[in-house]
Amino acid sequence: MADSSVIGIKGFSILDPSTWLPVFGNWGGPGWSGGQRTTEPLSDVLLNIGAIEIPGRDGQDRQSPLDAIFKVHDINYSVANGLPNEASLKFQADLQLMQGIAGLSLSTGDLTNLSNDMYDPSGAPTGWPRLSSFPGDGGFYGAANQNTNGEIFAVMRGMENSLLDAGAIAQVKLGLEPCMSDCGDICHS
Amino acid sequence: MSPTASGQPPASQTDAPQFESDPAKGRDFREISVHPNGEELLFVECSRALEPAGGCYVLRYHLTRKSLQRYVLPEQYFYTSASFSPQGNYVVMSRVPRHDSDQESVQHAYDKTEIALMKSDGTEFGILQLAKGPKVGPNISLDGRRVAYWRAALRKPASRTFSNNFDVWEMNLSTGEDRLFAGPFLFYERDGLQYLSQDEMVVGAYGPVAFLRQHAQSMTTYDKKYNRSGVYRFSRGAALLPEPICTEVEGAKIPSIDKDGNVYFYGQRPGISLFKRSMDGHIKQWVKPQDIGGISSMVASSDGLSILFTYHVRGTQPREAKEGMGMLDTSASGWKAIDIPSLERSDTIPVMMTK
Repeated sequence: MADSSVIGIKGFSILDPSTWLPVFGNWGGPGWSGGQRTTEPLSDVLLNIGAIEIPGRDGQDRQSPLDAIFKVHDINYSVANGLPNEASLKFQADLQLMQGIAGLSLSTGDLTNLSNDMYDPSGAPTGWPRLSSFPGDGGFYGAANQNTNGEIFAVMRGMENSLLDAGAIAQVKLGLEPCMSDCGDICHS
Repeated sequence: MSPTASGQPPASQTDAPQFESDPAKGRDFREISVHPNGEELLFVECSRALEPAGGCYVLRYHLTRKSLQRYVLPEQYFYTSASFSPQGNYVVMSRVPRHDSDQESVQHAYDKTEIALMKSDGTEFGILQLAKGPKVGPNISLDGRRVAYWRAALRKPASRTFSNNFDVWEMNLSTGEDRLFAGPFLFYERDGLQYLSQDEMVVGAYGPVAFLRQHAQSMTTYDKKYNRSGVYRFSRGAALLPEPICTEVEGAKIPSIDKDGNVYFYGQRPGISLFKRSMDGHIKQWVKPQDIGGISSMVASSDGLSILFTYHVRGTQPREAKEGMGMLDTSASGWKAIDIPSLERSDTIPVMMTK
């Protein structure tokens, strides 16, 4: 069984690009829910799935704040679906996701289980323009970059003692539509 | 009330909780309910032990006699949830037609969910005439004249979850009228619901999508305001979403009520625990033992002396459906596993259809 309390590439399939991205817990990652990819048949379909529980430094379990942020991101997407400003709301949800992750504090011990099996790609490719950045107190530096196809990725660079290994870069594709009129300074014009 | 607006009420806590080895863990238990006598449990177990194709069965377990009984219900269905009436003389359950495991078949089956009612002895089995669509978690009112349940909408295939837009509906058994109890609030997900009085209930639900849309608010902001609470108190006919309750504790969910109106729920402060919120606002806390994974369903006995629960086996994921069952003695603060006998060792309770 895959350990979902670490960030990693799980259920990888060369034929499914969504599986190339990292997942975490019960909610973190594309097509990932309840510790599985939901393209598989569902056997317990009305299940209430909370954030994954991990031990804190005091030995008591807590809901992972990281996974809870991913879950809330999903709800924010549900709120946005079908509304006239859907793209803008989803953009804001993505920003809140990244800001939430960047705001997690290492001092609480909430992230202590996340030190293994890190997603450690080679780094943000040369030529991806940086659209905005989210410096946080979680020990890493987040930024939004756009690739040559216009797709926007959150790119997190690990700092010393951070969620990511120092120097490592994680990329998460964001469901953004670039060049929207109301997206502020992140807009690529 | 915002949890940040007031200090935390007094709390008590049990340190270093222990949980004995659970021989029955690793099975697929769901939706636990307890008889008002505090001795008998009702729950669903899905298993292939009785038939190669598998099934989901409604089971009854006596805590003192340690005897397991299985209702012999119509075989063309999977039973998805079941609960005792407040007097214990009736059982209400949800069921879906047996289906293949591909998503189209599953969706088709859940669109045909039914709610069934019978006496606890297995007689007078009947189906409630309700609209199509996914339904789950039915519960009977204190006077036995109404059945409340969750109704949901199916999501597109390959969505994060199978269904959403949960709301509480209620059927009047005397008139056959079936209507929204309150809302619509379109919750992203749900857990328990239970009548508090003839006109009020306490429900576990999270992500009020309709409210968030109406107030142009994100779930992130809502969560910060209410400390991630997923516990509400509804009145029949309420069109406006009330503020969540039990916000003194972070992430309150899976509420259950005893006969005095005390609310028991799951949350964290700072570690994950079970809590009792008394009518006067006092909070009592029982820290969850490390051997237990996440609690998936729970119910307090009507006298409040015990909390029965199902839990994910540590190290497994929710969708793996590997569960155990246990109880907390609230007076002695003792946790213990419930060793449910195997399905093959269950006695049967014949079910008789209403003529």
